[in-house]
Amino acid sequence: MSSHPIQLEGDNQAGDLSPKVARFGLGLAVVGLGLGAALGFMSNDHDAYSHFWFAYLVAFCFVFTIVLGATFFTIVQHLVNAHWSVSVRRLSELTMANIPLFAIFALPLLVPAFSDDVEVWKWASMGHGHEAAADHGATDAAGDQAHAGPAEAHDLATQLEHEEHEHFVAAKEPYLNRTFFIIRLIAYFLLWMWMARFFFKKSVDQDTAEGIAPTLGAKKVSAVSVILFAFALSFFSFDVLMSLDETWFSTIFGVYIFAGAFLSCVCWMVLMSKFLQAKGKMTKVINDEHYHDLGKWMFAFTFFWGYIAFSQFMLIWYANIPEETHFYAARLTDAWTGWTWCLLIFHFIIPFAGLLSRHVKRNTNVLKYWAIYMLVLHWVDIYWIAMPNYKRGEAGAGNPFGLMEIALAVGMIGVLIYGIGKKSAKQALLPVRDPLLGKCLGFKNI
Amino acid sequence: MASTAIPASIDHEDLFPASLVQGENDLHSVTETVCGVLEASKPPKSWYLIFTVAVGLLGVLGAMIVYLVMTGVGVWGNNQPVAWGWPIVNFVFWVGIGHAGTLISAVLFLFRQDWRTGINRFSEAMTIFAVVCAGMFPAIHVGRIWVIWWVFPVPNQMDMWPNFRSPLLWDVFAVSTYFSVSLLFWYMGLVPDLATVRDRAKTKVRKFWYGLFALGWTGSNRHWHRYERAYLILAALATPLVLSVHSVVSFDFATSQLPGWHTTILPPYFVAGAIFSGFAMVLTLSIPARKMFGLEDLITLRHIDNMCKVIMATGMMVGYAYSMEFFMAWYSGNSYEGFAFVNRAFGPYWWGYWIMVSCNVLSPQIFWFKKARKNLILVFIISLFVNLGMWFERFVIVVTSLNRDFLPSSWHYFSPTWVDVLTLLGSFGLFFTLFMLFCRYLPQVAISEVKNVMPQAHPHLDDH
Amino acid sequence: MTNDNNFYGLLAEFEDPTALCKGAERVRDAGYKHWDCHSPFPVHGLDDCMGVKFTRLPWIVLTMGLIGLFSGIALQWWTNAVDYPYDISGKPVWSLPANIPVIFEVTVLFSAFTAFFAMWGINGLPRWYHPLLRKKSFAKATDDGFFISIEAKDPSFALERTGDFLNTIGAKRVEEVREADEPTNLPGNIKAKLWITAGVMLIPVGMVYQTWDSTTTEPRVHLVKDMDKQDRFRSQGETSMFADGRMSRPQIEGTVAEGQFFEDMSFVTGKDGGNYVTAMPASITVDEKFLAEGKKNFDIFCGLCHGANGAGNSKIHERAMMLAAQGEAIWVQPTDLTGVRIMDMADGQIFETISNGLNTMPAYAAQISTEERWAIIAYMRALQEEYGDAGPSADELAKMTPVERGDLVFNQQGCMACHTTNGTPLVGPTFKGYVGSDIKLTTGETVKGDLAYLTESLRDPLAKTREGSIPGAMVAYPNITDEQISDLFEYLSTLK
Repeated sequence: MSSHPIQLEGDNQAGDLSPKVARFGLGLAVVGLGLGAALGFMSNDHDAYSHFWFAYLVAFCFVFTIVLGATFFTIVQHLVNAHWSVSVRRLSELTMANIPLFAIFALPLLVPAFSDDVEVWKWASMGHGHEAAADHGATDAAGDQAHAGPAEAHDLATQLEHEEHEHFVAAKEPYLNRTFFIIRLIAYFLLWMWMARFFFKKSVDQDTAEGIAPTLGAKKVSAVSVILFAFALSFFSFDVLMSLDETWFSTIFGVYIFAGAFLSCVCWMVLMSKFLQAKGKMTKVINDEHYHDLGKWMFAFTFFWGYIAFSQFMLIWYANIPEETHFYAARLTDAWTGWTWCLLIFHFIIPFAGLLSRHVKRNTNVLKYWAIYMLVLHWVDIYWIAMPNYKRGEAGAGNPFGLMEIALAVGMIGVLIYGIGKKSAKQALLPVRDPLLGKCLGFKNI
Repeated sequence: MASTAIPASIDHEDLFPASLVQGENDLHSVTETVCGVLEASKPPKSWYLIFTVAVGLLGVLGAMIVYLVMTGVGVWGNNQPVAWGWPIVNFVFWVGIGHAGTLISAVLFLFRQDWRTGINRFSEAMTIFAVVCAGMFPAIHVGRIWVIWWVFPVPNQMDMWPNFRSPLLWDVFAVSTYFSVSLLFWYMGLVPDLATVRDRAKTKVRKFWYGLFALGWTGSNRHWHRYERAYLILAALATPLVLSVHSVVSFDFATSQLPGWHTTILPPYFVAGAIFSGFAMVLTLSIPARKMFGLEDLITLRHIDNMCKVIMATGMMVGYAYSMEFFMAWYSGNSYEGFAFVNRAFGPYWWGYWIMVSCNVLSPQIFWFKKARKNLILVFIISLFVNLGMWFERFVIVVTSLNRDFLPSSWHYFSPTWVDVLTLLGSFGLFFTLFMLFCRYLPQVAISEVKNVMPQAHPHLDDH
Repeated sequence: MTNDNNFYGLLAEFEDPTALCKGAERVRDAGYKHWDCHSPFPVHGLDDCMGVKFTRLPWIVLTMGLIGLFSGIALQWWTNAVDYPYDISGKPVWSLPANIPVIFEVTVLFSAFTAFFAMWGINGLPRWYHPLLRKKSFAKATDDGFFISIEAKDPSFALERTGDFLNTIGAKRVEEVREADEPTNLPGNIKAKLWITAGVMLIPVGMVYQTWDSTTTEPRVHLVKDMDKQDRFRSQGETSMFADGRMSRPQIEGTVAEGQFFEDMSFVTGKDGGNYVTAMPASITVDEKFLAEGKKNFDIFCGLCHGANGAGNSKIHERAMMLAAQGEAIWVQPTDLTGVRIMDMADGQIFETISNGLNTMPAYAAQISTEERWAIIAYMRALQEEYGDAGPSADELAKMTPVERGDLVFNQQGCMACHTTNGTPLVGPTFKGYVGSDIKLTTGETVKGDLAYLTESLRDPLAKTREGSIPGAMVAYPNITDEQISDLFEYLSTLK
């Protein structure tokens, strides 16, 4: 079978919209990040620095997972020869292309990783000088205490817990140490930057190519890329988010972060597409069928996220093993209970019910609000993972949510908008000569 | 504005694959091909051969079950600490195989994968028979099987209710729901095809029975409209159901505190493994069957190629889960967790572990090569490897974690008895007996669905 | 309209899906109501051409799905939290996370059944008869034919006009369809037979219902006899086989039971003529391999409680102490195997303890082979060499005061595992103020805490048990000398 040549209608170039968007994004970034930094550093309170770095980490991960989701989205479309997504694929490619930009914004995170004054990754400062002490300490200490009366036994319990903790940290030292951490981060970013560059270039090359060699080239590499991506994303999430609580572990965590990343990427694409159409671009090439499919992905990944989150929670809750269960225990007590319930209700139940109907998925004005809604909840999700580790186990720990969090998250979104604005200037907003574009414009959902 | 043309006249088999129905086929010849199998006065000789062997094994199964019930579960190798021996391994194995059918009919339907039409009837039947085999094992594993009805929330003479907080009870609900929904889904797809057989029937008996189950279908478009909507709804329901069933099976293990069982990735990992093994079984069955019954035009090399790719992808997911488990076992710093995994790979059952890894992760790697995916004998062999590897995966999970638990004084090397082995073989007898009957008496390919994806089926409403 | 009651309508065949769709558009526009298209597969786009209204099926499914959802919740809540609440692994009787899977399954079950049955219901299926099916040519509708049928009951129907109309919109062939002349309902007695069958089938159901909560003194039916009734002798059972009517038989004089004959009885009993042996049996050579065997089994069986180095400070002990401190457990520290008491203990006595157990320590004869038990003892002796402290020599002891020696005895014999000196009760009573106090016995008598009672408690602790103590918790100390007891008494006297 071969495809027929198709004349594309409508305005499919960003044109002078690009610099406008870039300027807007830059403004948002400067204001947001500037305000956040000011709130964090104006205060002389030592804790506020840690608070700032936590909030920065949350904002970074929030937006960067969107970018990673877009990377995965792009690669997997090539892998499975998807035709429905061709007209919106450039949107995910534009998002994906910002990985180098975010590599720059990842650099400040080296401060909390390498400073002994700022406590974000506690293992980073704990690993120093503690290696030897933890190994057999527990047995000896208990031996000394063997003749103690019951009054002393309670102290013994606390002491044992402390030593157990040190033991776990010491066991991870070969993995969780500053040198290896930075090596791994560099490796992830190099890999992703290569992926983003490669797939973006192939797609743009196709716009002017005679044959379909670039598309086939992208397809060829896509399978291996997906595998590498899966491992890189998993270990990235272990390193950056899971290790905030240095004793906690969950094998499903990489999948959990992936679910959120893909979900938020699809939401982001809906928003980009609605924005462009509001500006008179792409009006003839993105229709209800494409929104319907994007909406289905939103719905599917809302469900998938719920499935993964439930699996992780239920298994840990059910077995109730101390070294795992403290993660949820912390999030189901005091200041965090509300946020946990909020995730369950607003990140799962409500969007599940709301996105169930096909009418919602095909009504793009409603779908747009669901996309914004889900992005906000994605931020809540990341915040909920990271922030309870701030001052974990210390007096005065609580939920420090405030203006700084909002400012930094908005600023980081500004960075993404700026990057997309910059990238969008040079080529069309969709892969105009993609071999599957004809099928993409013609299909109908049953 | 600048309107651009996409490149014309491209021919590439990946992007624009060959037609789903091969050969000189039109709507009528598809009907002939599929119905020909069940209208033939005699099935092929090989059918008799397989059917005889299968019925023989079914007899073995019957004998083993009678022996078990009359004597007690002591006839199996199960004993402390490996109280879940082969019966549970076999249960998970079969229920895993039972996942491909609904996946193909539901998930691939939602993904608009037209190629599923050639194999979905086939694999749905396989699903149902595999779930029958699966359901049998926990039932006979309970010991006193005459009170198995206590697992259902039916008021009993002790005024007790089942414990809904137990994962084993979730299993009862998940597997029975899955069985019912799969059966409905399968039967619903069969109705239009049964009507086709009814309308072609020459004898009164056939006309009566096929007519009875065809429910008076006339191909009315008002019916088709609701039928397709119901099909879509069932597909949308079956998709999370597929996820849930093997997740619930994984909960049987993962809610415990046993190292090697208690790991959070188990639900998606089990689901990927189930799809993996299910597709392997579809290949194992369809490669000989398409030859035996002359269905090569409908189950084409493209179908097999796609299934190979799915096997490779799910094999990778399983490999991902294996590696995550190993990494976390070390990363956790928990010595029991670490030991459980070292023991898997290098303990007394090291051979089981390495059979599992080489069959499940290494052997599908050959499908990277298109030539390998087109070599039917090789594909068939790899599909057998995958089946074997997935059986061993369950064996490794069940046995290695149990045989060396927290208390070294209770460590014990598990060995199956001859009853274990014959019961497993017998379950294959049950499966193949049912499957051979299906091949003989029901349309093996979804006739109306295949027609629907043929080029003749599309009305050209725009070229006036 | 036509007056012919047997006339069903017209059936027109079309060439292909395209022709069918175009024809359907025309019929729709002509305003017909009772008409339909028939095709071997769903023709996409035909719904619009026919003007088929979107089905209400999704809403029915949604409603039933919600009912399923709440049924799932209600079922589990009622059965587990209200009607029959019981504690399983400490989970609350109503624990939502554990109830989610079943709620989900029930929801899907309800929805799927609804989608299936409601679809057939709305379609008016199953039906066993339809006039169109009487047409030979209509068999193509499930093969490769495309048809439009218009019913005679349609208000716009007029035989000739409608026939011409069908011809003009592209029909290949138009046929008249008539209802069957013969009656189409089921043959007379089938219905009656079905009713009778249904009635008969209710009988077993009724019987089950009747026996449901009726009680009976008859034993229940044993399907498989050997699980409930086994041929065996019970140790306390009666039999007519022997004159004395007992099932259990004494050993016949002058015989040895099978497998119970040993050259060296001390090897299997640890005793030689009633006394504990003080050395390894002659058949054993203690070498490195033997010690390694001992270490392996010590780590597996003994170390769990007594600690890897035998000091009685294992993880289990630590955990139990934590729980004990919170009042959640009663705990006696496992004996320090490297202490003086065990150092002085005869090999035979240790052997007997391993074989038969003592207090909370279980018997290990079934798990550890005889030789391995001796190997454990050999390894324990090695541990004592390494970590043990034999305490002061006889000369040094002589120089100490009785109170100092008593303090030493207190610690060496492990008294502190159960008895404190500061007034806090542990498993045993505290020794603070023990001497001279009134001790109430289980018999109701009261004795004084004097040397005689202390001696008796150590020699034969079960003779006079203190009220509130656990009988048997205190073990006998046969190896302790009278001098040591009097030193201990001196020491206890200082605890006021």
